[in-house]
Amino acid sequence: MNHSEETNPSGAIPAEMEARIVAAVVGEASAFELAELERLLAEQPELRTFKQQIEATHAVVQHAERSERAPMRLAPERRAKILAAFGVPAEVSPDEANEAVILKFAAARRRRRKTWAWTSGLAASLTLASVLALRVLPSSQPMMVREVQSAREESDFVRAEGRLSMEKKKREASPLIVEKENVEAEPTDGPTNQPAPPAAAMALSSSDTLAKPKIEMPRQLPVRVAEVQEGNRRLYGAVRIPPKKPLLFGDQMKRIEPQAGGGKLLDAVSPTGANGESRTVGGVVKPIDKSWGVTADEETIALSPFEVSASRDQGGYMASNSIAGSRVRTELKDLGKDLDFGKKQTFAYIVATAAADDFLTGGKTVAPATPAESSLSELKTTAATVDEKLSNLKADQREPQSAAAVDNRAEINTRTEPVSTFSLHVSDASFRIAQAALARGERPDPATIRPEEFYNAFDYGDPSPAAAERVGCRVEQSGHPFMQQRNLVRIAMKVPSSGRSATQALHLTVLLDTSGSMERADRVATVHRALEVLASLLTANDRVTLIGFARQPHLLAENVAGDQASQLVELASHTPFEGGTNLEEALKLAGELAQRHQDAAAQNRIVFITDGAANLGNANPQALATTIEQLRQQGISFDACGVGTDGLDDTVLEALTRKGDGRYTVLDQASDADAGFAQQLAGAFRPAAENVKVQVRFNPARVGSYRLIGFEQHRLKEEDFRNDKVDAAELAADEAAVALYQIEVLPEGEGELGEVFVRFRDPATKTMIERSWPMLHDPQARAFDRSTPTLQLAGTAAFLAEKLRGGELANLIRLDDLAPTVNSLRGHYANSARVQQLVQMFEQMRRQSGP
Amino acid sequence: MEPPPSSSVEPPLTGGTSALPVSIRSGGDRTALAELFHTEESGLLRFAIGLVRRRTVAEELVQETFLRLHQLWGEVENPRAWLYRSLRNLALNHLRDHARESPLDETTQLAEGDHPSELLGQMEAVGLVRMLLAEMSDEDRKLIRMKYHDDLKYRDISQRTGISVSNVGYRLHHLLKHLATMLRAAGIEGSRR
Repeated sequence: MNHSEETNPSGAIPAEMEARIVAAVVGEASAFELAELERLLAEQPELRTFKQQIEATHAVVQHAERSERAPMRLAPERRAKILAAFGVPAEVSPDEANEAVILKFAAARRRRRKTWAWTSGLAASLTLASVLALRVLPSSQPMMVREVQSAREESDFVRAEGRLSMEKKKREASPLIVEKENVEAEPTDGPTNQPAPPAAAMALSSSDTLAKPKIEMPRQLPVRVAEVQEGNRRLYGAVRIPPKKPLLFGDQMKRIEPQAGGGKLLDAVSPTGANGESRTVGGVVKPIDKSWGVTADEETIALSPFEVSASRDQGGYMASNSIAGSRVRTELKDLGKDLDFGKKQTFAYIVATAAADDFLTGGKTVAPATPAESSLSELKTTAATVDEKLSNLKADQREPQSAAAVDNRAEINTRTEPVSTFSLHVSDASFRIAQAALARGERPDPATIRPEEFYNAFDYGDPSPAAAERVGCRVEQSGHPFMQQRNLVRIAMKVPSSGRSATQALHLTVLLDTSGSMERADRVATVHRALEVLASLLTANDRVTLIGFARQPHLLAENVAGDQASQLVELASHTPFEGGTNLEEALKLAGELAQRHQDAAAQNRIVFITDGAANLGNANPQALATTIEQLRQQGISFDACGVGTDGLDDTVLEALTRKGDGRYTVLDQASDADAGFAQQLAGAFRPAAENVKVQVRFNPARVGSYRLIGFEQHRLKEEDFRNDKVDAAELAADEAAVALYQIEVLPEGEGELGEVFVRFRDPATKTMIERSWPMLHDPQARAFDRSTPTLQLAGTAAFLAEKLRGGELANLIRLDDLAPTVNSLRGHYANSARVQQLVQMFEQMRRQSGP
Repeated sequence: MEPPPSSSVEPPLTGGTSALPVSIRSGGDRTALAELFHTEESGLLRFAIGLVRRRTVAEELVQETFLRLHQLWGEVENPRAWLYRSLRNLALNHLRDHARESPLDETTQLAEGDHPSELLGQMEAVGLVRMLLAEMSDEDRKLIRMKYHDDLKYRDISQRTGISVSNVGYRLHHLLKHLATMLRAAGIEGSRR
């Protein structure tokens, strides 16, 4: 080869200088040489240009020389054709042919999967939007939430709206886009999410194609599906089946590709979906799912002697050798079961888009034009419907929350937004509420599900940092069990056990709801237990003021020393219950009293104990929030303790405590008011870190996109991180807080995942402290079910939350696939009551909803 | 999979369908071809996608390239380099012939972020480098391989090859510079940097 210097890329640079730069770029230069070079580079711009060129080339050569982790494959027909042309020996060709079929099949499957993934995203947002729209109308509380967060969410809404319409536009614009999206996914995704167009086009085949063999098989095939990929963990979903065991796919699928959820394989044997009915087309029984916008015909890939039916990636494969040859088919799951109208529309629309895409770009194997065209027009009308819905929502101004939620729950591209900032708010209220609902055999209200309060409900036993460190951080990651090319990252922050403010006095104003509904025996017991625990935490230095309130607030005790606080229990038990709940008045009185006894050196807090502000009286939540915010600015925090889980106005309480820098806890029964509760209250009373904000800066060269699971109500703007006027949560001594991310790691990317920053105020010195830790890239991140118990626990909790709230992931999450993980958690955390509760919840969910 | 020695054939520059000659060849040849197909399929496909930006077309081109190689098998001196070169020519032909058909959504698509085009550029660049590497002399290719695939230091390379350390540096310097020049000539600035 000639290396003649066609054009010297950078003018007259001495060869010796160039060699030095190259050496530096390829990592051969010593520190001294680098420093020297740095100096020269600063002086001579042409050297910098040369260095940039070499660096760029260096990176490309690295790529070119590195073996690919996820090789791409041609469409099966093309492979078959090429190999046939090569005259590859006969013993190979059945395999190849088999492989071709599987690839075809896998491609269709992948397409389904992809469609499903983003369908559910959109569907979820739509559902959420409509659900919230309905919820907002009758009650005023979400109004408050909205106003509380007004400015930010409003802007979020606009953004989210814009994004949605953008997406819509994309879909409308042209089917080519879908192809483009695939291309975009390629370099990192490899083949896994890659619909191979010709194969996908096959998915369009109408029933007449059933009769036409696409591939002539040379002879009767063994009943077996060839493994497609060479030792790569990214399977095409293909399984090598021993001959003579054609119906054992279930187990095998499960073992080989757990995320495909082969557990339901027996369903595959019966071709009828739960909602579907069977009919026979060309001798092949096909399920018809009425809930789909498209008929099952479009879902059938027919090859003779193979018959492949594809659907959402749910079932697995079934093979029978009833015809000369074998059949391979996925199970058509009951796709429409959980779909509401909006989802169905979206589905129809998406399937139609996919179909149209194939029709226009697929090239050779295309279905008749008419169906595709009608699908196109159908999708336009559907898009119009969606559009209309959206604009209605916007016009009514009812939807800022849902729109924000849409925004908050989407994956974020690191190229546009590499920084994720949030207030590290710790609570387990949502978990408790959901747990109680499930125990009653009910499905918890999705609006009360906050994933961060699920996975923060557990003690992960993360190591405590040294007191001097002020805060510790631990990062771990594993593969995502339900999403391809995604990893889970658990970031755990822990405050040392010796909070310096342990000697700080506590001035408490307890605001006790004495309305009629609190009279229930179990609630009385719970409240008493809570007060007892509270009293046990207080010392002689502390002061307590107790206010009972119903229609009117009554001062029950004022400025009682902490060691006398047990009297309060007695006092409370003699307080008569009455109708009405005038929280506004009560809060006003509490504020006055708290201010009267306020001590700048002490912790000043109002603790609100209620069974649910179901009737907040005429209280304007906005006014309440304002009051609470004003109190906080004067140094008085606001905690809320919900008693019982039915009728509890979870959203309002949560929002109020967020405003008030406080804790929100839920006590469902008296026994809850024990260790956990004490710790939480004590923690809130003695924060070891105030105004705790976390910022995660992802490295776009390594992480393609990310999603913070949960914390939707606690997101902050990037610039707010160092703006100490922007309020955030508190962490108590020895308390840990966890954030869980779902990230897309670029396998061919470079560098670490990013960096974690945490910033908080030391309550003792009132100084701001900031720490940061790198998040290293773990190229061998383990599969979820083989990762650390802590990550499995956090992940399982998050998945259950997502499943319960019906989020984007809900439809991807298959409880059956979580079962092994849950089982190992059951064993590993045998002594943790909380984890055992989670295990029970899992089982209850499974009973209620099936897999 | 060294190809049998024979005269080199220039890669075809014009499109056209291949008539598949069902030539009977030795088993060794078939295996070599199949092996080449298996090793290069992915890289070529990425390269083609990077060039034409549409998977369907890219697959078509890759298929065509392999079928042509099959016809010319035995006459091609460096099949790997030939594959890349031919594929590139076919792709450029395709782009030229279909210049008017460029996807209408291109602008809207890219408006959302430069991600896709950047990655596509990356795919193209990587493919081009693979082509250039395949076209290098064996010694040069070996050097690059030791440096980038085996991640060896100059000193280790020197020990294994018997070339002096400074000479290793000199040669890698020229190889990289050559690649940089070729990439620039192809209108690629290189990596995402």
